[in-house]
Amino acid sequence: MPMKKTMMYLEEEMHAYLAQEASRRGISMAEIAREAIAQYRTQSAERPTPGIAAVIGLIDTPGPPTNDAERVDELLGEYYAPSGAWDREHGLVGDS
Amino acid sequence: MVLSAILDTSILIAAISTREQHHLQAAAVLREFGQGELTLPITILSETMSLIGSRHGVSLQREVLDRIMASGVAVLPVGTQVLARAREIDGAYADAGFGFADSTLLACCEELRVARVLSLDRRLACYRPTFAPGLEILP
Repeated sequence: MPMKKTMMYLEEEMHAYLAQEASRRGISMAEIAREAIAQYRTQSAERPTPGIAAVIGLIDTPGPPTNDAERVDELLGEYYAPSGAWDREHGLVGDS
Repeated sequence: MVLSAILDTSILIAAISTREQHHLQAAAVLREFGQGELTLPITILSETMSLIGSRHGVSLQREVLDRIMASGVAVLPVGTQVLARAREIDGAYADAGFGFADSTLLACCEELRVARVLSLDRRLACYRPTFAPGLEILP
């Protein structure tokens, strides 16, 4: 397979490990890098994308039922109202 | 069959929090859609992030954003053409009181020619798209 030359910077510890491993196995450092990249690519392809279902139930705190979903405009209006929570959290008004 | 739908803030908020009254409905409808089938206008993402940040704090806000970004949902930029369309919709449907975020969502429906919206906001059903007889609002 045709190869393309490239250059990369490695942390000293990682470079030392790579050199040691190459010596131990009797192969080049580049060969280990190619193996690692191939393995990474396989694992990435096999790793399922979680999908939007990953947000379901992310907030699971005890307490009474809420209806924030149907009060978005109202809640944001309150939060950003003059002297509202946003102003207080950002020191624009004193706590009262 | 490939489904396509646009996400609204209300469906995300209801799905994210188990305490929400419509959590189970919202969760069920989100599970019906697979990779590449959902679009989230950037304005709706912004509104969702604002609400979660204000109600639950920045840590959960970051967690939600991370999961949305990893989910494969297409986040749709809103440029000047879509904003102009949104302004037209906002004016034409002033009585419905859609407001900025909902108007941009409807403009995105026009832009993508997608007539299905995942939302708990039934007001959106009064919008008449130019490319379809009406909007399908799920669940």
